[in-house]
Amino acid sequence: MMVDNTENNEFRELLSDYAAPISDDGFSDHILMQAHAPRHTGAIKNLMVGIAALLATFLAIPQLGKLKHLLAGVQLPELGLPANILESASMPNLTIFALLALLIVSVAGSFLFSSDV
Amino acid sequence: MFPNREHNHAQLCAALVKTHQGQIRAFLRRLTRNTALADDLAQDTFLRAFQNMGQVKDDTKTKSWLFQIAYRIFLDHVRKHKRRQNLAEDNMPVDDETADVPTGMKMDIEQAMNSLTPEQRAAVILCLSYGFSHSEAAKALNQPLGTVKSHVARGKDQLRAFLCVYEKA
Repeated sequence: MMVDNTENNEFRELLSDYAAPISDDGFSDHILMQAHAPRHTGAIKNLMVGIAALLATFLAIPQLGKLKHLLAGVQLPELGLPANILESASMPNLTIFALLALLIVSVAGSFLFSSDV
Repeated sequence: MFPNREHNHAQLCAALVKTHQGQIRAFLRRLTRNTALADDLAQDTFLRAFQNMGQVKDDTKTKSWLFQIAYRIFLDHVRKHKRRQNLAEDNMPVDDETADVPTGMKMDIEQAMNSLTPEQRAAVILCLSYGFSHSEAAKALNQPLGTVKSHVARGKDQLRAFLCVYEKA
């Protein structure tokens, strides 16, 4: 709904000078020049994030064995379920790899493709 | 790699800045009360808008989207300024330019508006000067609809009080 009635028109009139648009005076040209000047910050950011993701991957891979060992050591309370059900519920190595890879890719992706607005 | 796409993007950027720079700069000048700072924030606004042009599918929403960016950049600046200097927002450096000092009624309107908080001022400018609906202003300022309505009502009260004084004089 547009805010538009007689009183509002009076206020608009009253504020016409106060909020009057500023004349350009070369501002647009300056902005467009700035916008099209070569910028390297984005490329540098992407490179740094890529390197960080790669490093994180290299650090994470050797830890997978320990993680697997840690998970294997978790003692679950006896539920009285048949053993074959518990076996089928255990997490295979491939799933752990996939989850870690997904985590790293999503973190890197969120840095690379996120926008400020 | 995509010369046509880049050319189109450049054209869109040029149209965007040329169409909206006047209002965006005026809006930011009234919020910051500092010409140079307002122009710096306006520059940041447009540069950020250029990077995110693809976000706006509907041309009719471009204006409110731009004001949303401008207001967010203003708030970011206020936060950074406060953090750095631990100063109240009203202690931001105010323009000391003397070239265009308002006089008479203009000065009184400015005083009435300056007595409002920046949030209230922003809501009043958007709704009463730039023809935003309350919901459009709420979206641009990232505030609840009720808050924007009360900001505008408060602004109107201030201006009414100012008008009453003028009518009596």
